[in-house]
Amino acid sequence: MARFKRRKRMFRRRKICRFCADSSFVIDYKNPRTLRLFTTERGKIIPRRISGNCAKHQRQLTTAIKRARTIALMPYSAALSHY
Amino acid sequence: MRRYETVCIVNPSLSPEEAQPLFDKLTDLIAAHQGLMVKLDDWGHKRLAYEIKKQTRGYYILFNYCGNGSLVKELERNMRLDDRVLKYMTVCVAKEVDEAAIKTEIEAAEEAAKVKESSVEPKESTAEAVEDATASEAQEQGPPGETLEPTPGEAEALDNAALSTEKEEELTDGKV
Repeated sequence: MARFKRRKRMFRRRKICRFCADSSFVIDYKNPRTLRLFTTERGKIIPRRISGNCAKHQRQLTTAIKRARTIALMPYSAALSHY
Repeated sequence: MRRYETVCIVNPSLSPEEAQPLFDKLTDLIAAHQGLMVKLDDWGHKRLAYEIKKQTRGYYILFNYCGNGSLVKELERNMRLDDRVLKYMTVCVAKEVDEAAIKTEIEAAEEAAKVKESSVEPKESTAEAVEDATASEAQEQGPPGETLEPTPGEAEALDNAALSTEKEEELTDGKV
């Protein structure tokens, strides 16, 4: 019981949209380096509830990642290297 | 007129002399169909994220141009028929373009290219430039994908670690 209470009071860092916070951080399908921050090592797109992006930027990000996949700048699915 | 960007992946085994006629053909096509070539961006050899036609590397080139739908259709038809092109993708950047603004942009791009050329020439004679050249060559020798990978990879790993802890928190919250 005590454990639950402690959990409730626990401070959690508020997630902020990185693209809203920093306007120089641009979403572009030609720049896979930035896009890679928002995919898992398997190449899946990280959901909004985890990355903390706002809806508008998540939408732009999704199209950018999908475009980058089309021209082989990013993988559709990647093999895990350390297995 | 609309503004388009076409990324084209060309077979990496082609020598520059072999690839040039292909690029010339495509740029001529743009002019022939009432299009305006804004910029030709050469990305060079890159490692592909997945194999395309049994190739693991590709030569990337970006056409930035203005034109109508018929031009895109013709351009894509030509690339589809050409064996040297591995894959291509066209993206519409703007639905309406101001022709005057585009023309000034083209001029600016040409001038920038000239300045680049003129600044490169005198540099080559100095010793410093030689050092620069060797340094850049050394960078080029290693596959760019592999040499550049570690930093984003590490960042990603860190990010993933942070994200996974957050995820766990959320999951436990859900149970509560």
